[in-house]
Amino acid sequence: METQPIVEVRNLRKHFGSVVAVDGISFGVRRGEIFGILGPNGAGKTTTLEMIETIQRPTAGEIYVDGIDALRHPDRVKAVIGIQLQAAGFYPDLTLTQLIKFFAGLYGVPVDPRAVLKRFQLEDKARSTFDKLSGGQKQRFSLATSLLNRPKVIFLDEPTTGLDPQARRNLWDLIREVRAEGTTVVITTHYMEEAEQLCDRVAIMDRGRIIRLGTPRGLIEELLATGFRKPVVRQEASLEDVFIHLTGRSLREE
Amino acid sequence: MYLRAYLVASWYPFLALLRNRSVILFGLAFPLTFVAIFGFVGGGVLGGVRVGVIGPAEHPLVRALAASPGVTLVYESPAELEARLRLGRVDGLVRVDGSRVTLELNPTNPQSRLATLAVEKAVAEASLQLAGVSNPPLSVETVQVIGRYERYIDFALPGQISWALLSTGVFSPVWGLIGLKRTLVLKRLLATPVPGPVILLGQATARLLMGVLQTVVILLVGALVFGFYLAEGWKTFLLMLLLSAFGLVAFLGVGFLIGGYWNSQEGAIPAANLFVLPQFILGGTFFPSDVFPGWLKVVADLMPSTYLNTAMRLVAGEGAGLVEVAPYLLALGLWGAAAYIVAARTFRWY
Repeated sequence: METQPIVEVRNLRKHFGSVVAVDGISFGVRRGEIFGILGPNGAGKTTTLEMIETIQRPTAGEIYVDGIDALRHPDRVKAVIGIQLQAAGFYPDLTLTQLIKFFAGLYGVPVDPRAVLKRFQLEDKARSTFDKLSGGQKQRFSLATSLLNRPKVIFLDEPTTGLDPQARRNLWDLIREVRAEGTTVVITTHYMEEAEQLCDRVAIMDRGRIIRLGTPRGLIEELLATGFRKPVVRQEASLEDVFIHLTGRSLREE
Repeated sequence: MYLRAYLVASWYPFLALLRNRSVILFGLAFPLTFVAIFGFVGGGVLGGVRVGVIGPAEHPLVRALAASPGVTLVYESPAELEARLRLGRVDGLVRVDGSRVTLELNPTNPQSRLATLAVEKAVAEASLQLAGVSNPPLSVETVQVIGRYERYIDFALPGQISWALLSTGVFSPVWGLIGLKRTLVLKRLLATPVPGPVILLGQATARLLMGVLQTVVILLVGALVFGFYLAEGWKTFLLMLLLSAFGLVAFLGVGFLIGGYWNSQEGAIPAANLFVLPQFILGGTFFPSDVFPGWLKVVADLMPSTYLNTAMRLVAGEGAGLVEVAPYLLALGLWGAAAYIVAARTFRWY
């Protein structure tokens, strides 16, 4: 039971005409972990997520989410997953309260919008529309709606892109909280520091293939074992540490 | 099974439409403005006949003219009256000098014929009086029948309703769907367990609600403020709403076809204009297709808004029922069915 992966992907392929976006990948996500998919733009991260989310249909391969065949029963998969799309996905003209009621209605679950907003520090934005939010608020709201149907696994597509360091750390804390409550998290990013801080395991994708998969520490050890050495003096702190030390961790939002 | 989800998928997009400025502007503000303009124009034409008079006011002819209903006498200097006659600001000019009467007319003024009639009638009355005939051998008794004078508002208002519906049916889904694709809303909705067709049905229903609401407002303003004629009152009102809903469903097919196929406004807006603008001019919105040359009339008569306009004018103006307008609805339905078939094959979610 414990060993059965929450997400299992086998020989997954996606072709757009003659372009191969995803080139036969296989991996499994363990229950309760934060799993990162890393890679440069165009590596196939978003396409992979959207195939697991049953938004796009694979050209070939198999996908199982919580033991459900995603190609045969996409509607059952949709009910047990939560998703966050890249920085968007909400009616610009509706208030946050309306949007939460809207999605709760589509998932057919009872929800108290005020409690949801309070948990994600958005209670004073209940009557704002989505397009009036700051970048960090948008991502927090997006995370909040991805959890409305109490999913077993959530997929976050580049949730921290464009955020300032404070907002990014705040979102990391929220994602860790979500995991602590038992929800598996699959996240894509191209920030290596974020993957190192947040993820239990990462898959590194390039040109539609997974070229490495392991724990961040394990991958670093693997590289060092090849004789790789950084050609700089080891620093006790980074510039980001300086920035956070000087400006604090508290959120900067209007 | 998906009834609840369908209602949710209709209601919140409807709320979003109500907050959308361009939907309110093109769907309500513009048509109501035109209705108001045509309403006031229609009321101003019946100002009566204006006849300029040069001569003594106590002359029997002038007195007879002054007593004629619908005639307004204008006294000014001869030069001023001649100038006004040429400009059409008076419809006839009468010079009275004893038994000699001249009537000057400006034939480019369509009201000049009414001025002629009024003056000839007054001349006949004054002649009889001068001849001492108090009991003329022939006389005319005028009986008024109960009827109505078709004013321009009665023609224009159905055109404005179909214009509003064309705007809500085509431009709203084109802007809307492409906007929802670009902001990933459509993709996010597709990621919920609600099936795609239910999501789209909700999008269409939201616009159907909006369109019926527009028709209600335009009809009420037209009927209550400008006296738009509804042949059988409330029954006609409800039938007009039914026709509007039917027309909007057909227009929505084209809107979903264009907004579903294109992913950016650059391609979709010209396509939408290509469908809508010719109908704005040719589709019976402002004037009937009879004014066009033969070949253009054939094109105009095949347009979906022409069918809708014709059906609405028959219902509102002549009290026609569903059976009488069925052929127009059938033609409109064919347009809609063709659009939905193509839309279903070409729709793209992202």
